[in-house]
Amino acid sequence: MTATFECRGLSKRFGATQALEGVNISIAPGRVVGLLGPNGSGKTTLIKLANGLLSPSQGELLICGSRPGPESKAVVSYLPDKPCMPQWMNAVQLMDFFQDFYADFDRQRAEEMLARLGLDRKQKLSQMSKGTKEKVQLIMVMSRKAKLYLLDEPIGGVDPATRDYILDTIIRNYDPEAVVLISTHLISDVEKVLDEVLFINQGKVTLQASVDDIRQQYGMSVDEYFREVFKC
Amino acid sequence: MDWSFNNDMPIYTQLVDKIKLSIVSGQLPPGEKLSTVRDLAAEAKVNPNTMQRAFQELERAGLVFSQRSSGRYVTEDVEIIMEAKKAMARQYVQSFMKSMEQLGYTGEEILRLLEEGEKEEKQ
Amino acid sequence: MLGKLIKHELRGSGRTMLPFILVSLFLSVMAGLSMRAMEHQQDYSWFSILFGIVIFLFVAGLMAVCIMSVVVVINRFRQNLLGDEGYLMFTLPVSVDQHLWSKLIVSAIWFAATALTCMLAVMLMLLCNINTFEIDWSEVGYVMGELGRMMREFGILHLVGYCLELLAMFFVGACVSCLTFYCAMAIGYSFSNRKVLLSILAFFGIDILFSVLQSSVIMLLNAIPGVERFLENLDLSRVNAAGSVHIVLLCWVLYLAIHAAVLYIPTRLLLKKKLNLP
Repeated sequence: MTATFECRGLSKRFGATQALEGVNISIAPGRVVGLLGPNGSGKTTLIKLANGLLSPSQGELLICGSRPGPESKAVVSYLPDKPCMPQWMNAVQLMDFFQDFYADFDRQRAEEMLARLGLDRKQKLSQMSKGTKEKVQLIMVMSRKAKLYLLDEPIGGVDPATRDYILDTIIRNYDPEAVVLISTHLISDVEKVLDEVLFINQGKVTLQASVDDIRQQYGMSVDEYFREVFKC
Repeated sequence: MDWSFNNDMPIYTQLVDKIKLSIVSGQLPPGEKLSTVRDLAAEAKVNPNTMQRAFQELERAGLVFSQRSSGRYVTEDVEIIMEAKKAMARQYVQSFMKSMEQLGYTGEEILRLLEEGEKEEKQ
Repeated sequence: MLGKLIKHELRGSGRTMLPFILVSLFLSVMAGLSMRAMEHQQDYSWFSILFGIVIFLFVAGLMAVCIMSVVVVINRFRQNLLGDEGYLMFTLPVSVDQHLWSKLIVSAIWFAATALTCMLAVMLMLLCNINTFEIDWSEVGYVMGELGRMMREFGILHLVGYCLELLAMFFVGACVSCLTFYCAMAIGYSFSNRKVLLSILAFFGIDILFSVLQSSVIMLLNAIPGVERFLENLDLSRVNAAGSVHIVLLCWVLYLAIHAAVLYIPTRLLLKKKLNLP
């Protein structure tokens, strides 16, 4: 079986800075994986590489067996760490946009989630609060039946209620054929939602293990273990 | 159900314990249909794979059985449930005794304290 | 996918362009009507001020449409591809080529719309003002007759050919202008700091580079023995008048296409390999 997400000796350099170095990862379908690491450890760089927004300096990255390109982008659903939707659009226009470009966009699912949010569908994004904007963006991303979801810091900088909403949305849309990769440094909040974790530090992946294995082996939560590993 | 978790144990074993408790206490009566993995996972805010693993554990213990098309049910075999109940009681007693011994109490004293405790409870 | 990109690009840019176009058309009607009213006005003092304002607005409106068509070209590329929206656009299942083509085609459409708006505005103004100049219908008839005679002389096929060649020239020319901006921004925005300043510098850099290239190509051609003589002896009229115009137009299109390609290749490469989203 081909891995949904695979890196082989992946490195990325920006000038003199080594952002990623010799990363080897393989993730099988059906897993919810946390990409955990301190700020500036290379999480966003890895996710951008997977989206073809950056090109590797060395090594390769494969999504369902192929390099990032139009083909892989059709099966990858990406939530960037900042708002990226055109601000002049409203929810209906956004759904039209996604429906046009993504064959796997489930309009009904999006409509249902928007209805549950109690949102005025004709309201422009620019008139929404920051939290609502993030929820709408998440709804669009999670309404696709993608093979790989790449969520970059989905819970950073949102209030606890929104955080719960986001995690709930991720669980409810869980697909046993898909991989969800969540990058974050807020581990305690996502820990229960994850199967596996990847620890990344200074551009290197230092650990790939299952959450329950870590708890069993070290008798502590992943959050506590993380703090111990990355103690300053 | 209360879905809070400790940090020092795997999440799936804690899920197993919680569901087991609901079954032996009768909260989930024999033969009762269980919610789907997805719904329960959403309720507990845990990964569906973890919930799946907990159910597999419960199935292995015979407390839960799945019917191919219609879903999962609590076992109708009351004996297995009683067995599980006794095992859990023994576990609680063991840990209780251990704590009391750490406090310096012995068999007789512990029994007396238990009786007193029960009387207070009734009042 | 290209069609869908074009559709959404038209939507995105139409939000800015259409209001400007509609307002300037409205202003042209107003200008025409006020000219007409001016004729019947006895007391000019206050009215001439109003008249002046309306005419000023009319001219300003047309200028605004022209300026906006360029601003939209730059801004759509900058915001939609190189800004935050780039995260959405560059993760769509489309190629960089499709992105570039959709932007070029839509920009050409707006350039054409701008030209049409200017013509339409002047026509509307004159139409609203129609009774101020007497139409000499015999004159119109003469012009039409002349046109008909020319058409017969050249042949319909040639005229259709000219129109297509001019259209191609317009489109490729529009692409060259857009790609100059795109290339400059692709260079400027591949750096992490001072993106705007570097884009402007790149723009002038490209401009200078191309004038140098052009003159050196001409010099090179002149240096090759025989070329000059060949060009001197090249008597286009020998082909026949209509045909020689085709050759000139097609050569021009070819020249513009090469220019566009030289700009397109680095732009595409930079967007593909050196994308540096904020």
